[in-house]
Amino acid sequence: MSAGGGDVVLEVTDLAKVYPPATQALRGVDLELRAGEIHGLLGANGAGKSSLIKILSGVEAPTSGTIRIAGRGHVAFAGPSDALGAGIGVVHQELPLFPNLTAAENVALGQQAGGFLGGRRRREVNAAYDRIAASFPGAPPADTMLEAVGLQGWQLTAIIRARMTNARVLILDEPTSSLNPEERRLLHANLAEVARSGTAILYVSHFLDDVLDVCDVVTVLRDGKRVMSRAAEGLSEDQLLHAMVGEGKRGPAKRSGGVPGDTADGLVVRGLRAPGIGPVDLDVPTGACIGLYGLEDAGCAEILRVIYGLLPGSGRIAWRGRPLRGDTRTRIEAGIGFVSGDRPRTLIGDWLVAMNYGLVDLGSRPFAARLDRAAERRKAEASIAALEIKGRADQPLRTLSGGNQQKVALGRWLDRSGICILADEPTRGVDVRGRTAIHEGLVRLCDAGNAVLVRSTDPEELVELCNRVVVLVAGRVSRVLSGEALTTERIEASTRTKVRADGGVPLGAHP
Amino acid sequence: MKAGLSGRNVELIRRLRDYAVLIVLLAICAYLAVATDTFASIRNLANVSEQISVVGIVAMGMTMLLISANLDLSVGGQVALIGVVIARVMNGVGIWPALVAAVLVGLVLGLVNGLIVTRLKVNSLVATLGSGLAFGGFAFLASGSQPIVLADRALQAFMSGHFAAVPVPTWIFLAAIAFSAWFLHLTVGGRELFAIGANAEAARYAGIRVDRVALIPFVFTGVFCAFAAMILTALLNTASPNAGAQLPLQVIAAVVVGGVSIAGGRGTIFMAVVGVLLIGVVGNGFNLLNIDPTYQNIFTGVIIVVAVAIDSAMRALGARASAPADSADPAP
Repeated sequence: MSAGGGDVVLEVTDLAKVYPPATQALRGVDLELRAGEIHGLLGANGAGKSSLIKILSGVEAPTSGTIRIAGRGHVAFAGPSDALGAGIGVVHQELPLFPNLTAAENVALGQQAGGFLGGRRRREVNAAYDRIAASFPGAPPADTMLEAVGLQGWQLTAIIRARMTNARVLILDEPTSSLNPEERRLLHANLAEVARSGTAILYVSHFLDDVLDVCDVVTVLRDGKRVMSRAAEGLSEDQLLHAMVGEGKRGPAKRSGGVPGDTADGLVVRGLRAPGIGPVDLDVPTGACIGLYGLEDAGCAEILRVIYGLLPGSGRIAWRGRPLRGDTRTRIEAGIGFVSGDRPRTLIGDWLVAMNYGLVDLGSRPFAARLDRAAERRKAEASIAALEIKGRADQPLRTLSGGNQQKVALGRWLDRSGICILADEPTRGVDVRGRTAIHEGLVRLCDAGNAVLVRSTDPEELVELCNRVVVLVAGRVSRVLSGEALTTERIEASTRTKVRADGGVPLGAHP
Repeated sequence: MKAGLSGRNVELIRRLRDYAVLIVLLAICAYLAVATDTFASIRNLANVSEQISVVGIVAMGMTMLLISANLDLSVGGQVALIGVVIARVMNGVGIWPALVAAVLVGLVLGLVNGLIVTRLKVNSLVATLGSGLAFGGFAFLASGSQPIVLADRALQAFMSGHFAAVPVPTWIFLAAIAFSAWFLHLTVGGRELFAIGANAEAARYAGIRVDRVALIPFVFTGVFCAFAAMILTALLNTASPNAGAQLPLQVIAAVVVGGVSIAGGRGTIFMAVVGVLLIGVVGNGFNLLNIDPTYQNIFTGVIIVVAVAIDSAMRALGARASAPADSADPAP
């Protein structure tokens, strides 16, 4: 933790935001950010976090209220560049960087006149990058193309970019949503470093433990209002949860320890191989939820996609005793479904909710078959009712909150029985309530005799959800944890049980 | 204010924009009906519908291609080559074999384009730019670089005829519209075209065989080119290897003016038809008003740019409207 308690650099007073016709996202929010403090901002989906960030970063204008910046007085941003000019840097949830440029180029972008980076200019840019990157362990080398680095590298590049603009306020939107614990620790150390230099950090997250771990001050929004703002010291997760959700539902869907169901009748994977992966054996009995955990290069995400037929791989895969072959379509027909936390990749935001429900049924019907809009609508409405989705079948999907979109992603598969759901970060960027609802949905699915194989970078999620967790290191099974042994500590520890075959240190494990 | 647009308001503006083209079309028609004696006559309207049929038929295929986020610049080369095939086979064998050959060649050319794009993973713009040049070259080879006059005038007589006061080419255009509207809007395959154009990766995750689906509109376009070539060759009673040089841009212009998004995933057959009609009526109007055709190009050019500019403004607006994702929940 950093010292905090400096001068107020940013003061928000009575900020309100109305989205016509009748959505009031912010109802008079106050917020003070002090130099050198890490300020946590918590809230369930719909609490107004995103609106507040958008206003502070100049993407949207407030309906009423004022923003004051030390030394500049009251400010009104006409666009993101105004906010940047006023010293507010934002690291977004969907990091807006360019995979086809190097880390240093990404950082230099937008700060200097554009143009070809040749010879001397390139050396200057790289040197400037290195000066700042030196204080961030784990930062990608200046010359690395961003497409070659993991999410953590992207994030650090974004932070370095914000540092380079001498941001007085740095806003981080869900910075840890896809990081493993090691990477989180590193990020937090880096943030403390940034704060020490006098920058105020607004840390927006739905991970209570992260906020308590790194923040000096915590502000909680609920229904567009500030319901709490106080020093983090002495706060408990329960207090925060209570502030966030009020008297509503809370607490995760707990699974009992044992592994029910029939192994032979479930998803059976033998000798699965893909580039950098395998051989891997997995058993997902019907009625069970099995977790996959590993560092970024462990291959968990790839294994799910090999099983789903999206990536090539070899080995025997069977579901309910029948071998899975061919492409994704034949696997869907065999009863496999895929739910990804990366919603823009698997859902179509411009389409109506009902059309997104119909999307997964298209492939198995002939081209010339009649499009049954009534059926897809019925499917959507049944699922909206069953999963308590806030939204209608006939509204564009992108107007739903992240949590509700995620329920749609899951609900699309639930109209059939005897299915195996492959879930990849199923609650990424989803708030506490949404997360609980999705967990309950997955648990109910298991209880009904289906199977779930879930990959998550959050050990806590796996402990809550799974009967058994398979930990992978460098593409191989390192340990299988269940029963008493299934704890977050054991999961994390298992990623360090084996050094990679090439003798290197797994990503994110630098000192 | 612009930041405060909700999703529903954007839908409204989008719909207004769709109808704006229709309103412009109706306004131009109304103006021409008043300003000229001839525009509103049955004969002139039949004439216009016949003139736009070639562009219109090909535009149906192009609409499906744009919606699936592809494009076909080879339609000119296809029409030229198929025209020469029709003339050769007709003069050598007969009229029915010629028509069958036309459809088969259209099918094959479409398949070639589609396979280059889906199997060899060549960007459709580049692939069809190349294949179009090649098809045009084959047309010159097959014709000996000379226009070929049809010996049998039966095809010309048929295509110049009318059914129920409607020219035969117009009937073919109407059939193309009906088929395309059915496929695009009422079948599973049509919805899949929208899916791969809107988000190919989401389509893949949903088990849609993206490569196979992407092939379909190329084949349709090839077959539509065959019918366009029949009309063009018949009306002139001649197959020219130069035919169709302007066709790709005319077709894309008409479709885009109608409001079909060049970025894929958005558009309707109705929009495309309105766009084809607009371009056709404007051309007819310039004729009737005796305005230098040069101005027609300028006018059409401006319409195209304005239409695309509005389209991208809509897309930006859509992105803005989706921005307050976790706060724009409608009241339950």
